[in-house]
Amino acid sequence: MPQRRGPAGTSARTIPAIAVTAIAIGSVLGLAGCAPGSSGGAPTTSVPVSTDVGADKVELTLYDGQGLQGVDDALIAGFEKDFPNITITGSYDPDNVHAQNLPRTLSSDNAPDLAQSTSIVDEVTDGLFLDLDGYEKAYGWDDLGTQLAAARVSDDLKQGSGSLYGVPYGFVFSGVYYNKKLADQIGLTTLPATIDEFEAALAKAKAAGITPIIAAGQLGLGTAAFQNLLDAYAGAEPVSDWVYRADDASIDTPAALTAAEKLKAWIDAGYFNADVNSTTQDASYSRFADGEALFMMQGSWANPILAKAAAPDSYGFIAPPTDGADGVKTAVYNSATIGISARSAHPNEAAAFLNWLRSDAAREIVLANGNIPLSTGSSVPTESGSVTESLVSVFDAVSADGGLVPFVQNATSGINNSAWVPQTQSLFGDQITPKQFLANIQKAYEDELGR
Amino acid sequence: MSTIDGNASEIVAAAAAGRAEQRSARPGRRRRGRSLGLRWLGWLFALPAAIMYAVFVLAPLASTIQYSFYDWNGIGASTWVGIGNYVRVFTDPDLLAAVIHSFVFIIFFSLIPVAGGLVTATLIRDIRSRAVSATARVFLFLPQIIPAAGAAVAWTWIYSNDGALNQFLRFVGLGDVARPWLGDFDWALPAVGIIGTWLSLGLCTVLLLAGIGKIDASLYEAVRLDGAGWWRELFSVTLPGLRAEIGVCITITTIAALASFDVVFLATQGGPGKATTVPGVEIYLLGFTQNRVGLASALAIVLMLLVLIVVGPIQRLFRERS
Repeated sequence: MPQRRGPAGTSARTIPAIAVTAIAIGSVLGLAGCAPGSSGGAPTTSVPVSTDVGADKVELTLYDGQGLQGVDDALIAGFEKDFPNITITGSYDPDNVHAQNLPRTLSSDNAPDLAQSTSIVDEVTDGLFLDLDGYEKAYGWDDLGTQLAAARVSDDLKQGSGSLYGVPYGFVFSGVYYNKKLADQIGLTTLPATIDEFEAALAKAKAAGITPIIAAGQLGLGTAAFQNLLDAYAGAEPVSDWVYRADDASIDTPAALTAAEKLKAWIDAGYFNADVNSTTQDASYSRFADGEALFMMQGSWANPILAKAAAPDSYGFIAPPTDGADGVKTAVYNSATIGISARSAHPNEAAAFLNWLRSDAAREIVLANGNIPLSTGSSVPTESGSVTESLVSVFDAVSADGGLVPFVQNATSGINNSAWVPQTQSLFGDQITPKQFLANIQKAYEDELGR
Repeated sequence: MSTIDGNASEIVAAAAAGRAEQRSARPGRRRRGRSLGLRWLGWLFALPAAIMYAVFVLAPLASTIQYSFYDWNGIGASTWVGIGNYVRVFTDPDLLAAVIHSFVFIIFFSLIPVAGGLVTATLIRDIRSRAVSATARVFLFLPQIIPAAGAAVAWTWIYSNDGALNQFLRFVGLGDVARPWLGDFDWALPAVGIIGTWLSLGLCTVLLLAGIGKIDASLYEAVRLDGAGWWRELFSVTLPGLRAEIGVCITITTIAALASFDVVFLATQGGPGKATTVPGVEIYLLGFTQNRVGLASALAIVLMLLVLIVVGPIQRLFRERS
């Protein structure tokens, strides 16, 4: 009779094999010890704070996302010219990979000295970034004022105030690009400043057979349209509090519902490209550059890309529309913030780099690479009539209005993938109501924060 | 998390080990005294491989099991949560939907390709011209050579609003049916499934063709003399003769369906909404973007067990009775 295997006929021979496997798994579990991740924190550097970097040769490393490689490499070259004894080697990963790898890289044995972070509070929670309060005092960075707010984390691990953990060298922010030819075609003589004016322009475009807004929903970038409305209706502060995880913060509010309902009305009216949910970001850039749509809600980072794909005078940039003529100008922004690794052996030299980022030379490099430079009092020249000039003037106007709001997608490390992408796609795809949309986002937010 | 990729090789290895055991069983019984020493010598020879297996397969598997009982962000301190992560896997509608989608993919990754492969293989067998049949084989096997990631990117173009599929539909006057396939809540899942069908059809055809080649030609001659038609021939000779090959095809493609990642991630990232998400994509997103290593590990373990539960009976069903 042939030998049968399986649960009913487990032969005597398979028992040693099972035992060996069990012992192997058991011993590995035993070796791993107790709970994962509890095996002591990262050793923190203990070099006394000094602004003197001496003349000894020092090599530093910097870790960033590829999207910022151009500007980083230019900044490093500029810094090395001023500080010949310090060399910085940059290493880069694709932007989404960089965000994921950053905590792992910073906790590794060969952690970079300098690293850019978009979610600084997570790294601070895990003790991966050096507290820069000493350098702030030594170099006098406090004159940067609220520009440093996003780089501060309080003792109870709330972003926005407290100790300094990084220095931003530039900002990206989001607004509305428009196609000048299409604007002329529908007789848009004055550019829309309020939501009502914007909506009227959308209706005109739709009537003329032009796609009013092109959005890249495949990556959930319909969120940009929602947040522009949310910031306008709710105001900058409540939204910032939500992103900075203030206690009891909620996005399920009447103002947010107004924003979500307005967005839903625009979707239902056909004001977005029909294939929004399968449109990638790259495709949205090239289709906007090709003149398919009147508006595209995108960030300052898109300008260098559009400049290559479209004629420089074929498109322009305006601030997101406000709630009424006296509404506060708002815009979604993020800073490229560089921190120093808690494991760096050369924190003084690394801090010298952060300090150099305030120089005019550094700020010119930042602007030339499509980012908005730190505001230090002295102005960086821009070409008159260029889109870059509009970007800088819109940013200045919004920050003067106190309307800079962090990206809602950055509230937690996972909320973009767990909530914003699927929920905006569902709203655009007519699967959920504005009410459900907000409730689902809030639920994911509370779940991720363990509330 | 290496368990996803490890599944296929583990099963193949386990099956091979089982077969080897059966073969060596008989001489061992006859000469018991010498065989005891030989048995330990055998383990010694297996030691290098066993060490590699322990370090690269068992150890990650053990850590995955361990992590699955903790709430851990991958860096900081962790908290013991018992079976909390497993409870979440079975109660979170998004994660459950992911599991259901992977079962839907069995239809597209496994059933359709095996059925299509059978028909194609029998048709190719009937082709008299060697050149034509060789060309057909090459073209059918081509999707197997192209990396799934590349195929997914190419298919996203085909499926796009102005892509080849919609252009064709508009050309033949079916413009109303045209839609952004991967952005449509109802159609995205089957659209991604068809990419899988395209990928595994060639493999199934080539495997089944090789199997048909081994069937004794006199059997075909005999049924034909008895007056059997094409269908009769298929059911009486080809299918029984291909039992083992069909088993391999179904096993490999079912694992590919349940543990799918690359095609879905590159085509839709699980969207729109969560319409095409599968456990592989959820594990990746949980582990690497949401930093929920414990929950991701629990889902990975559940996925591994699911594959074993589904593939185990398939293996049994198609085992050759000799």
